[in-house]
Amino acid sequence: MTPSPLLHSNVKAGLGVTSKDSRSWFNFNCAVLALRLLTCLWLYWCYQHYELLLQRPPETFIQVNAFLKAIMPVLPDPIVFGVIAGLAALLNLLQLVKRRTYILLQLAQSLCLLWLNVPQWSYGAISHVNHTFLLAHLFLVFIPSGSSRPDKYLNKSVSLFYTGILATYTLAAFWKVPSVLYKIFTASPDVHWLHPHGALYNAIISHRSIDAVFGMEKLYLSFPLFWQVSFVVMVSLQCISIFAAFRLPLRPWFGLLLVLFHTVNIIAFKIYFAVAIFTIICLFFPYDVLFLKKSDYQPEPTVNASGNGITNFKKRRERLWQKYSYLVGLLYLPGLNTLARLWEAIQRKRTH
Amino acid sequence: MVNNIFKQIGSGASYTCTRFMLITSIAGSLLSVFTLSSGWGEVYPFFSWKLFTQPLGNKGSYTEYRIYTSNTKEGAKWQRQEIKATPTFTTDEYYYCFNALVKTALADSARGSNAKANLFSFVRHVVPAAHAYKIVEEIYAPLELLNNPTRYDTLTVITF
Repeated sequence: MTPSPLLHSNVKAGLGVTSKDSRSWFNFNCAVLALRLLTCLWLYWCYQHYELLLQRPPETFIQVNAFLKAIMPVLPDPIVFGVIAGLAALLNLLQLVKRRTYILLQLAQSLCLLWLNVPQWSYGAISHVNHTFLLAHLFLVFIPSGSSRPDKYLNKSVSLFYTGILATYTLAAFWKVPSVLYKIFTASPDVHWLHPHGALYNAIISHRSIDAVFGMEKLYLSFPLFWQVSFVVMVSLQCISIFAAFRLPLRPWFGLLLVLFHTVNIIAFKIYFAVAIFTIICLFFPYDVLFLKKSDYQPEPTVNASGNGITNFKKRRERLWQKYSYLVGLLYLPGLNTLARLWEAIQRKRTH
Repeated sequence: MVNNIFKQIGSGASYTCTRFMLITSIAGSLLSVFTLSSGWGEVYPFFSWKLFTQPLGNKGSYTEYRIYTSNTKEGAKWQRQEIKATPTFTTDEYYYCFNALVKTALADSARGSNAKANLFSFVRHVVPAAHAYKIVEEIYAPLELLNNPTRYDTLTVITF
């Protein structure tokens, strides 16, 4: 019988696997199922969108680079598009029903999805819409979800999967740091993100460029500091978001943060990444809170050793995690333990 | 054969291959930075590093393009067409496609390519039933627009 990822037998920890690992594996398996459900909707939407593309003048179908031109010189025939979409749906449904990921099937499905997405990026510009969704399917190819008990390699694969998704956010934020610093240190007259009018400029233009009515200028003019601080906070959090790939307690928090980030971008700057929002929700939702009881996984080995690097903070954090779960997830933010270690070292020196 | 299709990868191989994918992905995004700046386009469009690195209009002025139409034969009384969703283009798609077509047509005008014809097809598709069309460049300072939304310079860049 196929072990279902929603069955507890599959998530019970194997030897040497901590409860965090088995919960991570369980969440990942649920996330894959959610992603597959989203994929059904995406395929439906993609086909509907294709039918609109058919009505556009064929001269407006212009590839941005030679590679895309080679694989799709003209908008594909409805029969071809329908067959590929049907194949993608079949592969997706098969793996959804089996609740497993098979390497060849997933590889074929990813390629189909990439191909189905190409027409949307073929009208003179690459919109980047769907990039998170497609990346998630690509990174899924080599992770045999639904099959094994979690072992340390599978959990590392899962961490790498989340790294692949979060790295896009980390890199995009990281890129802004040197460019803003450069503007500040060269005393550039340009408006950068830390300039009091930075967010205002972006908002005015992003509304005006699609002829949308902009009526929120007071929000930007009255509280420039709010936008400057928000920028610093957001960029810092986005930069460290990659740590959530390796720390289960942080994952739902950063999922929430990214959904908020996209939502604020929609409201304030008219930047729409709707598919990314749904993908993030599917991948970062803490399913274990809904579907697992504490008795379903082995308790975390208690940290009692007082060896190098084990701080009181770390011990306390583990105890709190066992008791309150994700509510104390933010205690796993990078740097906090280092700060605690420093603090404890100072305290020890004082007492000596 | 059937067994091969329904094959699942071992956990060690899973880790190695996923790590390889991640490294390739990051390398691809790095490569995109260089190919973008060399004018070859984005080779790996999944990691968009440079989205909104600076706020829009950071130089103090901003340039946009709009379709202007006229219903009289003489081409008088030009009417500005707003960017809005059409039956086949969402607002965003209209914006990106239109801008790309205009920029290509402006860059290629000297060589007499079919870029202008492609743009004209788009223009007639989104705003059908007009006698005459032209593309107008609109230049404005973002802050001035707050006091007066009609305060911008216009310059006809393409006529058909």
